[in-house]
Amino acid sequence: MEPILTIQGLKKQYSAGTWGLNGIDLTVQPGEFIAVIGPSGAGKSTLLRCMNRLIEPTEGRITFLGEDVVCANKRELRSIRARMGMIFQHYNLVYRSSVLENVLHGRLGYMGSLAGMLGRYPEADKEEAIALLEKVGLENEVYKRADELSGGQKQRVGVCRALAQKPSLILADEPIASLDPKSSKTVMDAIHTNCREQGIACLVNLHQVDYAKAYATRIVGIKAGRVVFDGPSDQLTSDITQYLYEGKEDEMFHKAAI
Amino acid sequence: MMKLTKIPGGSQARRKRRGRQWAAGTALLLLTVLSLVYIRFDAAEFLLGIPTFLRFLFSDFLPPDPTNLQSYLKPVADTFIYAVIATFCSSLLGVCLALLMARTTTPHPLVRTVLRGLISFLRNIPFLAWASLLVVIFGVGTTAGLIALIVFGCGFLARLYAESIEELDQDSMEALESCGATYGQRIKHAIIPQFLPAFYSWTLFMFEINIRASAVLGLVGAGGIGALIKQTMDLFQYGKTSMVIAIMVAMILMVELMTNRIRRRLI
Ligand SMILES: Nc1ncnc2c1ncn2[C@@H]1O[C@H](COP(=O)(O)OP(=O)(O)OP(=O)(O)O)[C@@H](O)[C@H]1O
Ligand SMILES: [Mg+2]
Repeated sequence: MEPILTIQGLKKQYSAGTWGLNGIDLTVQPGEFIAVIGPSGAGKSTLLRCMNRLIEPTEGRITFLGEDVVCANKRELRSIRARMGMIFQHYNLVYRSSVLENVLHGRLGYMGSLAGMLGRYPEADKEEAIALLEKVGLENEVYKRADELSGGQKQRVGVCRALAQKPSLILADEPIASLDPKSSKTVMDAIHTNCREQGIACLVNLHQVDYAKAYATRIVGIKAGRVVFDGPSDQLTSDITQYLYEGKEDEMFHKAAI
Repeated sequence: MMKLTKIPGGSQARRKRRGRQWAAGTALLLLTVLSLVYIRFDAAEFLLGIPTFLRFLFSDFLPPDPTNLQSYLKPVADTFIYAVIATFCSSLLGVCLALLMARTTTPHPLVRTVLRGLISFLRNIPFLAWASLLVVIFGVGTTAGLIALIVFGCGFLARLYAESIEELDQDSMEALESCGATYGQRIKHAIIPQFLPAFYSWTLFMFEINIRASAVLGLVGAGGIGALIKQTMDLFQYGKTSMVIAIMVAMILMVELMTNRIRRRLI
């Protein structure tokens, strides 16, 4: 099967001496649900943000659906981004706009600049956005302002925005790090079910190893900007997690306790 | 233990701070006295002038002379209309400039640097200097006054708007970027909704400033109610002058009342 995403020798240098990534190789197949784990500062966020060039990589190649991401020009990058959904730890919604508008923002990448600015979303897009919201249990919140929602509800709006893009790949950067266990489960379920049903591949950064094991088909362990583990969830032994979080065990427990 | 070490350190710091306050106060007083000496301020002249001033105030200036009241109507309306037009134009221009010059929304750092320099130059020319200059260019009348208000307001608002825009949350900008939204789409959907409260607030503030400013425009020959003050004073009709001033104050108060009400509604 043709991979969705190939990463070869990806490096990111923030400033002289500060390396975010130190040579990452990774291949993502269609429909895979991959959890990226690792201690704080390992480079998980940097990795995800290099995929859609919110951060410019320093070195290496990224190929998404056969297109070169690193060399893409403005127009090509826009089309690549439109097909990659992103979910953020802090939801990153426009809080003074309605829930529906926030979901529709996911369609902007496919629209003409002016039509998008004027908010001329096709009727079909609106219906689909509402359907997505209904599916994650927000049917009563569609016309509310986004700042009226709880954290878990906000993140479900974030998930719907990413899904509205009809992406081939979803990048989720610690989608549940700011949520309580109950909301965490709802949000992870929403991401997982939708990706499954629509065959969307997903790269999700997680702090909690137990969540990673519960949802992911494959786990990638990152430490100091390098991949130190890459395999099916059941092969992630406690020895490996120990090594991954070496010297930062307290963090692992602390994060797991939240 | 913590407390014992903290208290002496705290009081020492407080004593130091008090010492600095005293020094600053003394310096300020000294500076004022020296300045008064420099401009040859004569206390006797000032005190002797008070009775003359009071005589002038109560015999010539007061009471306000209400004859020909309807002839003031047009200048008052003019002043108000100047302020409305000037606020409208300068807020539109101001938003465009602010978007180009705010760190977070500028299309290029060079655009930001150039615009910031230009705007701060424009803004630092006093408003009446603008008006006088434009009167020379456009002649006595409304055009000069209106353009002076717009130029001044534009610079003023562009800077305030840009600062408000820079303080906005960047997260949603980033999210829209990750969706593939264009620059225009990001501005429209992520920046504008967040910026609106600050926009209303500063624009109303600008309107209040514009009302006051357009009232004095007439003093340099740029039209409006200020022209009446100059005219009546030149003719020694001080009763009429005080009438015009009373009308001006009433107008400013009314505008303030109005903007406060709108502000409470909107924000
Ligand atoms: N904007 C930046 N400027 C400079 N250095 C940065 C920047 N962002 C990240 N870094 C550095 O890059 C390294 C990787 O950071 P990154 O945010 O990717 O880690 P992370 O795995 O996401 O950590 P966390 O779990 O805490 O979110 C860290 O050493 C960090 O200090
Ligand atoms: Mg991170």
